[in-house]
Amino acid sequence: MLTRAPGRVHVSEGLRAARGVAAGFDHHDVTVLFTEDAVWAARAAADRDGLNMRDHVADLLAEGGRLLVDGAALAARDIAPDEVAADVTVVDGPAATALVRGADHTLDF
Amino acid sequence: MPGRAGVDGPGPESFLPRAALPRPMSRLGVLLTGGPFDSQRWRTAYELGRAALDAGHEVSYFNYLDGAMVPVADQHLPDCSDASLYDEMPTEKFQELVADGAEVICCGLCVDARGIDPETDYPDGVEVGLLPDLADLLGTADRVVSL
Repeated sequence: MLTRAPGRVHVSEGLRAARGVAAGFDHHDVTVLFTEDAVWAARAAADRDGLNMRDHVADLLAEGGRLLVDGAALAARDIAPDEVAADVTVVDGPAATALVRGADHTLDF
Repeated sequence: MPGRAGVDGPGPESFLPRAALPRPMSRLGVLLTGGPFDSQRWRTAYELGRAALDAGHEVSYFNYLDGAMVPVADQHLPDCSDASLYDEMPTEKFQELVADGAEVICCGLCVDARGIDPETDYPDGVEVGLLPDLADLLGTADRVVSL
């Protein structure tokens, strides 16, 4: 789960960790959930190069990882779903909860 | 095989106090991203690990981002109360965990990014690894706590 606002190192480094875990020998299934202030980084307008996200995202997706964004956190920040990047799926609260509940482990950044 | 209550009758372990029952060892994994002086996360990570080791469990840390600074030796914070968060420096707490069997791996990229020289800056027993070590921790730990 990414929770920090873009500009903090946690967004890019959380994605780096997700990519690394997905690509590891164990080949874990990894889903990244943008929530809280990290939802700003899920917008299409986010500068992925400036935020050092682009390569991490590309590799994560190539490994079968998924990118989701918390719809409630978007709404709380007046970010419309159509502002979200095409490779990020908007999920509602119950879906986000189910994701966390169904995961073997969660890591917070 | 333990008896099934109501079917075969209670097994012998049913008559033992809970504390006396043997519990299988578990492995606790901790992802620590907080640094030594930015919050209490390092201390929470230490206390959780301490309790788990005392209960006979295995403990593994993966120190990521500023967590890589936590075990750096020779850090000092003057004029701290003995009752404070810093009654001992974070590195001393983590050396104690290592001495008691905890595994402490620091992310190599984070180490390099912070100019840490593992040979001279880390005490014995603190290892440097990479993200596959985090993947391994996730695959083998019974519980993972992210701090």
